[in-house]
Amino acid sequence: MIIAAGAVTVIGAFLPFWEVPLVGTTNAWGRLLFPIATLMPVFGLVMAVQVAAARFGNVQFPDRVLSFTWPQVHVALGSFAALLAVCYLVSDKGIMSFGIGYWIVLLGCLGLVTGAVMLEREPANR
Amino acid sequence: MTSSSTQARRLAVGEWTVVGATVLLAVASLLTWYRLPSNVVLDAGTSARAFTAWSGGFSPTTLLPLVFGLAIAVPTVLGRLADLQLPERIGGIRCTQLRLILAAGALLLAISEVATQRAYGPVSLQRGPGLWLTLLASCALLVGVVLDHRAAASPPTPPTTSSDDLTGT
Repeated sequence: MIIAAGAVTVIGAFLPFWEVPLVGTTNAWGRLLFPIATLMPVFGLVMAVQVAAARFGNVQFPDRVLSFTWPQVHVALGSFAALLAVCYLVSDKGIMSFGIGYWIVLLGCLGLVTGAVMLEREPANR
Repeated sequence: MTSSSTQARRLAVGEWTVVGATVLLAVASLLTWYRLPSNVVLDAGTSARAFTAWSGGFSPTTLLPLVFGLAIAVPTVLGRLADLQLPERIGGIRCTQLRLILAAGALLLAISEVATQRAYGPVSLQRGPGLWLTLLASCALLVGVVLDHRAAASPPTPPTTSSDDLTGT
């Protein structure tokens, strides 16, 4: 689930995040949103790559990173990404409106935190 | 009997740093984060030239460092002064780890905020002192949490033996 959600978040980041009347659109890599909104796809990419490398690439990662287990790292990154997405949802957007990219990123971030919690709750990781 | 001032002194250096950094974050949130360049002429009906972390359009992402600071400092102070028993773990993550995550998140957001080019319509905004103070306070918050984390992880210091104890007097 983390791999799929990470891919969704990265794809969404290249689609219109905000739509500004008479001006156009900007995505999560755009001047007005970089690097805060960009943290969401970056976290999604990091999470997806780590899971894919560990599961399919047989890459050996250290058991802990700065005292955190990998499932804990995923929960932290996924929660942070979802929190940012929700913050954008409730912020005052003025004349701007969300584009399709934002909604895809939001969906991906919710998938990231769900997948991270599922990973943390796997019997092998408890 | 222990007075509240004596209890307050029980806060360790790392905890004092966390509390101080959170107070700084609160103050910084009320200072100017962004301002319009002085040569920009405002439209009729637009009065704001300066924006704080609480201004619409910027919050709530600009308030997250303060929220993270409060989430670290309030349980720390309550745990010390009110002997509040806090849970060891929240959602599989130890509280000490959670504090590290929140402090690192606050610093990451502060750095990202400094790096972001905010704009008011077509006009790029200038960065104000509140933003720089938030960056400074977020650094202090992480330092305080790391100090606190190291103090909690280090073994307790054995009691010192005075020469009187050795001589038995």
